[in-house]
Amino acid sequence: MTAAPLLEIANLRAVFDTPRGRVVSVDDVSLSIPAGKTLGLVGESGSGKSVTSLSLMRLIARSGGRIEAGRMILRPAGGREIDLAALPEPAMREVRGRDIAMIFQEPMTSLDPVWSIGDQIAESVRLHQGVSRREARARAIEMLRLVGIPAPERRVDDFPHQLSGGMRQRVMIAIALSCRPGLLIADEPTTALDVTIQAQILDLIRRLQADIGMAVLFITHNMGVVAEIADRVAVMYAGQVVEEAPVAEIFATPRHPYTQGLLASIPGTTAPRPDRRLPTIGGMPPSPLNRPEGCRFAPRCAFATDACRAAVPPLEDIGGDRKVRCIRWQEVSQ
Amino acid sequence: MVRFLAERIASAVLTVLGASILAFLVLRALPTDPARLIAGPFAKEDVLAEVRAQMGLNKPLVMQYVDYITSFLSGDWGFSYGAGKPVLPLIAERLPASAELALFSFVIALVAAVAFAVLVSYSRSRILDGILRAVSFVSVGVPPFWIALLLLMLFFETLGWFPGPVGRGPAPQHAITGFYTIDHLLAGNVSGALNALWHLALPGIALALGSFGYLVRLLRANLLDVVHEPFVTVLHSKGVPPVTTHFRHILPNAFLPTLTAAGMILAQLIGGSVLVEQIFTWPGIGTLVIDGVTRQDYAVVQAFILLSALIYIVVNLAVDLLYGYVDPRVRRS
Repeated sequence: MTAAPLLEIANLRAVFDTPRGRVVSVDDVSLSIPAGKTLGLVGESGSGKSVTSLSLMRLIARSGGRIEAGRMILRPAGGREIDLAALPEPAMREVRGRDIAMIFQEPMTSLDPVWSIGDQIAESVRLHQGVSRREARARAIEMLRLVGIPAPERRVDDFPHQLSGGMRQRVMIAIALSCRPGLLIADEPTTALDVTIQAQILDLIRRLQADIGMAVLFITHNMGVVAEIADRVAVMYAGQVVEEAPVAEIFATPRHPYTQGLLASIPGTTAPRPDRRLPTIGGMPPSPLNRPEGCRFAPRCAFATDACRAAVPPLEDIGGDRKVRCIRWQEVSQ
Repeated sequence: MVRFLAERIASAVLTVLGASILAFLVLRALPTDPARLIAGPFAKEDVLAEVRAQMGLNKPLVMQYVDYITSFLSGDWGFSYGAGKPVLPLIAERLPASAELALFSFVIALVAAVAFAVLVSYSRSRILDGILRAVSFVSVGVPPFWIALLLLMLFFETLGWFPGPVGRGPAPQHAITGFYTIDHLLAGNVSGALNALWHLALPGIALALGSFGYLVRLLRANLLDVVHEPFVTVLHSKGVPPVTTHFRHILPNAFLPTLTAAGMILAQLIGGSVLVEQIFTWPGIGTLVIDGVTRQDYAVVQAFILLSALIYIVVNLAVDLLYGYVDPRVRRS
């Protein structure tokens, strides 16, 4: 690898102060995404994947959290280098929507119900590119065509309630990509959609990614979706990255017991047998207020030993462009 | 859209009919005999019978109602024995004074409610929010006539900044709209218009306070709801500045549900300023109604009840139609 990655998150820690104590939602997370590539960020609810993305957008304060430590270096086109964690808010506003854009899980509630969809796309374009009202409208129509909305000249004046969930998610994508950002954060963008629509939206994101040449941080809890879209995968558990590897390797040879459990619990990856139940990972993720001392997965792990419970295992570089946070990964992998 | 309109108008007509039946029955149920009121306490029974026949009071109740409605629709709203005049012109000459006062206080209440609710929801200051909630709580609870007296004591008697309870001030030369402020302006008389505003100020504020308290509480709650909508996070993720987000996205969304309440308040203000008008000797329909009640001049009271209902219904109909215009979800469905 020659060029420095587009995005480099180093030792990010994001916390929430709750009435019941301080919660570390994202603990020492380091990730990087090269330009034009897709990183799949996988984990269950509460694992810290969405908080990671909100930290990147610096929108975490809205939900009551804050970034406590770490750097988030973004290298947008033009050879600049920005630390998002230290950027003043006005400059951060310019980055949002222009260099990093985001699409969300709930297309039904993500659009302003009293603005036409065309105006909502044009708003971004006018804000970041200072073009005229007329030009922005033309761009909105062009974007609607790009995301596959039929008769865009007519639909541009439609309001969100006139569109289906899938169509609204296309509009969200049109808004996000209207300024050709270098990085798109997609936070479970297909979770709320029908399976057939899911596939269409994934196709669309992939196609536009190739067109625009942007990197994608794709957040999901669905390993099937990851297999479709990601180049690389990072698995999060209880606020930490527990395994990171190229997508093919994750599926072929998962090294962390949690990743193995995740893969085993996908229906259809093993031949269905009526006498066998779908494997699950026993137990529950630990409460963020009361996490175990050592390895956070230890209470649910079949391989756990006293050494696992004694100290937090480091995220170890195991070669082949892979990392794993497990002191027994070699035994686990056999 | 046509169906929407037809439905709303049909329901408005039904409501007016209901209100007219109510106004009609309430007065028929009173123990006083209108014939005796007119003919006097010493009138003989045959004279009373004649008066009753003249007034149609010997007909069946249903026929009396039909008479009442047809004459109401043809502009015959009865005769005020207290004023010695037909009721319709009596009300017509006094309605503009009440309407001007009501509209003025409505504008004050609405503008102040929007301003303070936006300030609190934008600043997210707990202290400001607490103050606003206390003020709105008190202003909804305190009767307007008492506020009117307080305002008079403070701003007229003590400070002398505003005129006392002397009504609307000098009338403009030509009555065009019946609103003194506008008629003065139309005549090019700016100082006259300002003087009319000066007279409107105290009764206007006294009336506005309760409506302000109600509207501001509603709008504040709506704003704080909308602030947490997912689409607001999306706007932030687009890099839209907070001020733009608040005024162009959050406020319109929060204001829509407030529209209905605002319409009801306007209608109530037009018909419901009786006591405040009395205190400021405002020559509106409020004072007329008080006179009507004390003199048992029922034609006036009856007309007032029906007129209030009519105004209420017309304003609400207007609000419904306005929804169809400003809310895209209603417009297209």
